[in-house]
Amino acid sequence: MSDQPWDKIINDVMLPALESTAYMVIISTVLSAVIGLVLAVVLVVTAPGGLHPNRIAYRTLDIIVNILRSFPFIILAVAIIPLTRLIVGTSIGEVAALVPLIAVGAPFTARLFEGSLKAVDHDLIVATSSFGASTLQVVVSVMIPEAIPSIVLNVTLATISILGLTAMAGAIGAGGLGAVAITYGYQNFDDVIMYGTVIVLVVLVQLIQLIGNLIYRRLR
Amino acid sequence: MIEIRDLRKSYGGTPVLKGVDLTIHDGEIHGIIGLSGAGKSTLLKCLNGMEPYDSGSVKVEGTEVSERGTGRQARAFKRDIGLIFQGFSLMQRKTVYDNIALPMRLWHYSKDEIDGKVRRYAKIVGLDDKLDSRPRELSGGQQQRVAIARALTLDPKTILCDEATSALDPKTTASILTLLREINEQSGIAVILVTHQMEVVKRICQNVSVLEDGRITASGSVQDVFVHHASRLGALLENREQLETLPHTGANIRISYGPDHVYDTFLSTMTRQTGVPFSLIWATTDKYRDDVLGSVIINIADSDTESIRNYLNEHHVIWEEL
Repeated sequence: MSDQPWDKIINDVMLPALESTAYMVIISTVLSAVIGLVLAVVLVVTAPGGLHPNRIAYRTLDIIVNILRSFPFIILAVAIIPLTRLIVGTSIGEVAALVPLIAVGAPFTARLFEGSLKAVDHDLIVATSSFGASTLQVVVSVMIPEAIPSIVLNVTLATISILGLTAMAGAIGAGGLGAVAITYGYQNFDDVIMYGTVIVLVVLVQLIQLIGNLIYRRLR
Repeated sequence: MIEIRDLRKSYGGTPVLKGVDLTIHDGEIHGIIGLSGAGKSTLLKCLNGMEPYDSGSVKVEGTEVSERGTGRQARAFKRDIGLIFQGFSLMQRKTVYDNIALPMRLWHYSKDEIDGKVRRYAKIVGLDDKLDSRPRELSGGQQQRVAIARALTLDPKTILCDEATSALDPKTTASILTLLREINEQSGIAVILVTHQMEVVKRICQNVSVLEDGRITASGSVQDVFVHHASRLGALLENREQLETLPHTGANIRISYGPDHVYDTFLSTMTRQTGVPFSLIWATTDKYRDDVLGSVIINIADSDTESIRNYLNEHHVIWEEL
């Protein structure tokens, strides 16, 4: 049983942790999605049979994405600590955690969005270029708008994955709910805090999926 | 006008187009028929500038496609040909209005001009009451009508239909073809129909070309090609099994009738005058656009072949031995 009074645990531990988790998830998902969308567009456009096939650009990007995707997150986060220090000035805290989160999140969403964009009717793209649309116009006016419902579902998926990663990042000094579960719960043998954190995470995942599904249904 | 001369194109050493010659005149309805793998889609891509070609010439409205260069000017050339696909290719999330407006928005037409044209073309294709619907609320035929309206908005000289009716039922196919013919007759836009459906060619084409193994093997008016290249068309289209059921003994002769002779009493006259008995294997009359053409296959004994051949030649009948 917890030896701390409940309101103290909630106000001093859980709520700040929830806040920093939300911060990490929202900022890294948004930035990952933006970078991922750009990467996905480049992948789809330069792919063989794409609007502007370019073997070198496609293969290079393809391999970089694969490399970043093959690291276990915790190893990558440790491995790029020098880079994190260079950008943020420290390797501790939620701002520092954004660097590895985006390093993993961006290639992950790039692959998801690549699938979304590839699923757009090929003939529609041919038709649009046959009206004299530039490549940029095809991407902006047809490809992305048609892929939006699928992109929304994939953003939902990415958000939940990144939420999982922030919990892992908690183990190496990122703060947030993961850190609470590990330091206050696991290392302190406090089952109430540990399982309490798990329940909060479960509720968060349900909430994210619910919102994602709702938006998807509206946009479809 | 579209002029294709000795067009050649290969993919990785495999020739797909082996010297295609084809002319599409202003304002005609021209069918291009061929089985899958004959090179139809490659030909279309070369025509639209989507694929470079190895040699030969493709001129659309007098301009060589390979010399259009790049950038905005090259994109402007593409507007001369409007494309229509088998799968309709509409934006699923946009309304009929937005789908028809798409090409004009790409070229930054004014709002008023877009509105006027969308409404005009929606009326022409009979969808002026569906402007706020989404494609998935429409039938296949209606979706294809949206695609046709969309293709018309940039005032193309030619509309190119790539298997445009292959996904539709016969009745809807007929209504789409009627619409294309109306558009052709009212605005003089040439229509190219790439298809494997004989029905399409028969119903509206004035001219037809047969694309076989990377070459045009027959080309001309529908009557001409039907009457003079009947077996070629038959083998390509629906009559494969008809050739397979021919008797193995005696001689099989196909006699084709042009529109002026379809109702003649030729066969009975021939029997009476030559005294040669025949068995009727297969016969059909078909409506081609506005004309009726006929074709029969008869089987005669080997010993009678000579006299029948002479009789057919003397009477200037179009025939061939199968």
